[in-house]
Amino acid sequence: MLRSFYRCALHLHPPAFRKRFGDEMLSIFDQPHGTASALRLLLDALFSLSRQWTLRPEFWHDLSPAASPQPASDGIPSFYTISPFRPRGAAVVNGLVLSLAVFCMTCFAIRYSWIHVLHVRIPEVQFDRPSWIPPKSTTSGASPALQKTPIPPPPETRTPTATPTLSQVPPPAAAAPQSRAARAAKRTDTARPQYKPQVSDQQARTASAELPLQSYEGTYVVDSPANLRIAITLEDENLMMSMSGQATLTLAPVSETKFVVQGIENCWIEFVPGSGTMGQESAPQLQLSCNGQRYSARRQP
Amino acid sequence: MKEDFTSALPLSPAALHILLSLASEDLHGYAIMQEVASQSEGKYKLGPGTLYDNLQKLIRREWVEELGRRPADDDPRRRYYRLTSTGRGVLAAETARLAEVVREARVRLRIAKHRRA
Repeated sequence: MLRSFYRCALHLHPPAFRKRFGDEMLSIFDQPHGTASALRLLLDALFSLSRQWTLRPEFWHDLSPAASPQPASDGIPSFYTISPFRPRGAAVVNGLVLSLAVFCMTCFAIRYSWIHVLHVRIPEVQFDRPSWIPPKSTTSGASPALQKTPIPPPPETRTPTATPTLSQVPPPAAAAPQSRAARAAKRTDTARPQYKPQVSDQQARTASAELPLQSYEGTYVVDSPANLRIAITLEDENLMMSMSGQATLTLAPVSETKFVVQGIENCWIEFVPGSGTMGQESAPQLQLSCNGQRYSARRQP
Repeated sequence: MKEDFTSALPLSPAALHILLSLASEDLHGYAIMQEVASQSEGKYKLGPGTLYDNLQKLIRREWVEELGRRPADDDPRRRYYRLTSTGRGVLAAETARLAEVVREARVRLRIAKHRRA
């Protein structure tokens, strides 16, 4: 029992002292003594323990090996550590704090990456589809879900041939992406319109209320193919588009001049205001882009 | 050239007794304890903690060195220690200092005794 306490007290000594003298001190304890002597040795070990940790800091890390390497009796060679270096406890703590700081800074930099700092504009991905004119069934009375997320439309409104070869639009109607889009809209500077291919219903109403939608109204004539007319009307604070022989479609604003044609995949309309030079004013234009094909139309006076 | 050990003096009682016990022969720790007790006729006893704390310092100062050999039939945990030439010089200097102290003490005690008489 006392020997266990004594071994425990020896084990609590600084490593250098314990390695060098621990076995020998234990051998002294193992000499035949009475209980009183054993208690005195235990008390001496406790005093030694406090002395080594408080008064002998210069010997805490003195790990010089013992001068007597023991010969191997069984023929197996003995190995010794050449460089018994062990870092100080304070150095380990400092390293831990620095590592954590670098890790947190890296996470912070990843979280606020280029999209928040540099405002790099993502180029538009074009789609390759032969036909863009919608069927008669896709009308302005589309479902609310369709109006919320115009691209891509829900499966029930897709045409059988509508198979885009590439899509960069995330899946619709997820709660987290919507909240992220709302946060991004708050940060957006109104003086510099952002390029956002996907807008919510509430955002579209807010944007349309601020835009001069009346100035876009009119009938536009496409240069080629000829005799194709596009009528832009304003109904209930929403711009509507109707083509000759086709259904009326709703235009959802993306920016001040750019609108998404709801009900048709990858179809955009951009209004180009007319310019006046030397007293000659040109009429406003309309750029229609559907599935990679672009059409220009000029408004009829 | 003779080395000057006066800067290392005076020695602590434990260090003095350890050096003194190793002056005649190489001893292990337990034998040093026994020898110290024998020198002081049992009046001064070193515990293992005090012994190895002082041995640690003496080895660091190279006044004592640890031997690599031991008797074959001895406890393998024991290690033997030897006084180095430096340690021997320190012991000699300390002995001379103590002799001077004893001589001076005797002179003064004799003078005091004559005055009282």
